Amino acid sequence: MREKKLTTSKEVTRRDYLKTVGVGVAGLVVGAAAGYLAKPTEVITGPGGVTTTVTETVTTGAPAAKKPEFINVLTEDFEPLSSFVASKFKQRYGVDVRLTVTEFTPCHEKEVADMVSGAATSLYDVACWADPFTRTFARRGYYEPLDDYIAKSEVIRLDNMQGPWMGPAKYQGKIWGLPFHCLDMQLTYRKDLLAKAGYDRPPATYQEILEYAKKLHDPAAGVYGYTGDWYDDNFWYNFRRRIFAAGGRMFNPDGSPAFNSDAGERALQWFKDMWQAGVVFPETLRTYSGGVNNKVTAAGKAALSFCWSWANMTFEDPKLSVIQGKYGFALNPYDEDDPDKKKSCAAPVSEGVGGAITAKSQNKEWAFKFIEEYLTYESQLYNVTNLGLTPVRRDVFSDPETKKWPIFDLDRQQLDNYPTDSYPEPHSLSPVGVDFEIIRWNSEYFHKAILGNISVKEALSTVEQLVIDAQKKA
Amino acid sequence: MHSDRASVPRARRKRLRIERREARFAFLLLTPCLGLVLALESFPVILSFFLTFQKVSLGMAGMTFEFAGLNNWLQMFSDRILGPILLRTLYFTGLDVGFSFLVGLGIALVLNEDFRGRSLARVALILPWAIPVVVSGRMWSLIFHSGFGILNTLLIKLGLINSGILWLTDPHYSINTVAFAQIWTHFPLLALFFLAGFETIPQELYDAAKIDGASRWQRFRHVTIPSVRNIILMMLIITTIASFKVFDMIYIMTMGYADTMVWYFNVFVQSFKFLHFDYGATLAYALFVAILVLTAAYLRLFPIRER
Repeated sequence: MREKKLTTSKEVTRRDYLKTVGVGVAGLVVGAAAGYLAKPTEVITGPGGVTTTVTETVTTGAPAAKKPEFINVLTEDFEPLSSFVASKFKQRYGVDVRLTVTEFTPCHEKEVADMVSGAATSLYDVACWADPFTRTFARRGYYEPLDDYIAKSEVIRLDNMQGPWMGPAKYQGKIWGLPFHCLDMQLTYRKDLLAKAGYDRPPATYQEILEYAKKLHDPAAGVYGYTGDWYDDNFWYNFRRRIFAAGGRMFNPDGSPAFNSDAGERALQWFKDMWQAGVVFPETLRTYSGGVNNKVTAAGKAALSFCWSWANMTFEDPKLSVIQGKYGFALNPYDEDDPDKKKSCAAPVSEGVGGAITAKSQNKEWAFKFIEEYLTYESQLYNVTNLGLTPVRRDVFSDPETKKWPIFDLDRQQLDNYPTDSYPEPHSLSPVGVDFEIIRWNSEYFHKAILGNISVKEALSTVEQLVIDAQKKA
Repeated sequence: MHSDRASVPRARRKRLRIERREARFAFLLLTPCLGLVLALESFPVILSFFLTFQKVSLGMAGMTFEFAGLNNWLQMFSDRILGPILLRTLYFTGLDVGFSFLVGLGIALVLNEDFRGRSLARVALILPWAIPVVVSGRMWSLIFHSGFGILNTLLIKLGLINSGILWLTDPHYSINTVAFAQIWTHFPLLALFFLAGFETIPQELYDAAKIDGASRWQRFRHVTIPSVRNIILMMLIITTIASFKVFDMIYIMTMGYADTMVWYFNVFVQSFKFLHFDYGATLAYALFVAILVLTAAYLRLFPIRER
């Protein structure tokens, strides 16, 4: 009997199979080789002095670039603002914008993944920029310096830019990110409750905040004396504001930690005193998002709070707020113990959230045009009128629409008084880019001190030591 | 007769030859798929092992490496946060494995009894395990919310506490709270496996034990447990590994704050927050070695037996 022909049920012979696999493998090899040979390899030196090999030509924006069909944008910014800007950009230039809008932490993770992929082109033309990102990404060459683009821009004039954003945006003398608006906080208070308690003015010092909060705390009415966002990087911002007011600083000019000081102790002790007085909304220690904090305030659950400027729109909306017409806002307080009685300061995140151009973007000029679109007069005014976001352009502060909201005049004062220039270092983040270590250990150990699990001194020393360890490793 | 005998081995040889050819062809068909799986599986394993001996720098070209010898391994011994993290990991694993077993076994015993609605109860049992961890993590976060959480509200209404307990903020409670949520997602799988094991135990064994005068406890100890011994061992290994590798529940409920940073979460933080991919990989390998040792110890202490 003849041996049965060896086939699969679909009559694929071994020869067919091998032919198919062989052609496939050969195709892959040829494709990979062609792809490799098509891109000239170039060695460039990154801004941190790190020499890297890339398979693209890095341009600094002088020649007119070919118009792309679309650009990819990763932003942490408010979706309505980004969508507005994207639609304006499309109208103006006919270029689509593919937006990825996500939160701070996922933004950081996405940028890390994009950076370490080693791919020839970046996933994003415009990446989210925030102050802890500058050193992480600029140092490693992921961002493109913006100075040349800014110099040629007809929209962006640095002398027309409000706020102390430039310090955190700078690295090795260059600007790596531009803000879309200023993010700052004000002391927000319930006018009705203060009047009922016999106060005719808001607290002006941190010590007064504690005193007021104790008196305003009313468990029977479900009102806490104070609510805040003391978690993760927001706690870091809160602590920075507090230590600045106490006359301290986070880092010495040489980059070594400076927060383990008398001012640091006074600052942390204030958080502890507030907490231990039992007048703080309990989720304050778990509230990462300023939005949650604002919701608690809007729900009438707190008498005092530090709220982001954009929350004022929420407080005025009767659908979202029970404190409509009952709240007031004031300059951020100073510290009674501060010998210089420093002017009050805004949250040190006043540079806001912004955008950077990725060094491997194929559409750098268009990416910059998109960033510019955020900074047009029209977009900045849209911030004010539709979102309650503090503008970053000085001229927009004088617009009649902006002047309708007294909060923005207060914001301007705070931003003008921000103590950046009082310090030798350009900003308060670590010069060697260990910002995320600092944020984590700061929140972790300072919380323990606030809860009374360890002493204030021990918390400051531990975090100082961890930061020194991290800096050594970096 | 003779010719018949001679033809048998020849026919068998021929059949064997055909079978071998078919097997070779089958293997050939599987080769690309196996190769791909092997490459995908082995690449990260090999790369991360390689990373443990490197100093990794991140830049535009991706990762660049510099040989660092045993530096990363030695760093573990000088890392001041690692000691507490190790103890916390062991504590968390102990809680998770211990309680998941107790609850799973108890529920399986109940569901093994005959009662009305048993089928419905069995389906309901799977729910905590079937719900995605993101959902259950969010759900438990809301329940344990110190301001508006159901649990605190209930305790205050019952007069048991005066003010809300900081379940997820106070380090005294937080690791236990996360462990509770983790046990809730783990125990159904164990109960299900135990239940499947119980159903394979012949009724005759129980009848014989009863005739011999064995009490309910003795029947459980000398009949039930030995019969599902292998299942217990396998589930012990699986649950221990899962507990050591807890990530999602912590990410959702506490982000590793309030003393809930366990070893595996620290791998994530070191690698993707602090960008120390070299040290993160070393920590991951250290955990792998620990799990390997523990699994070997389990198998040595309780060897798998033929029934």
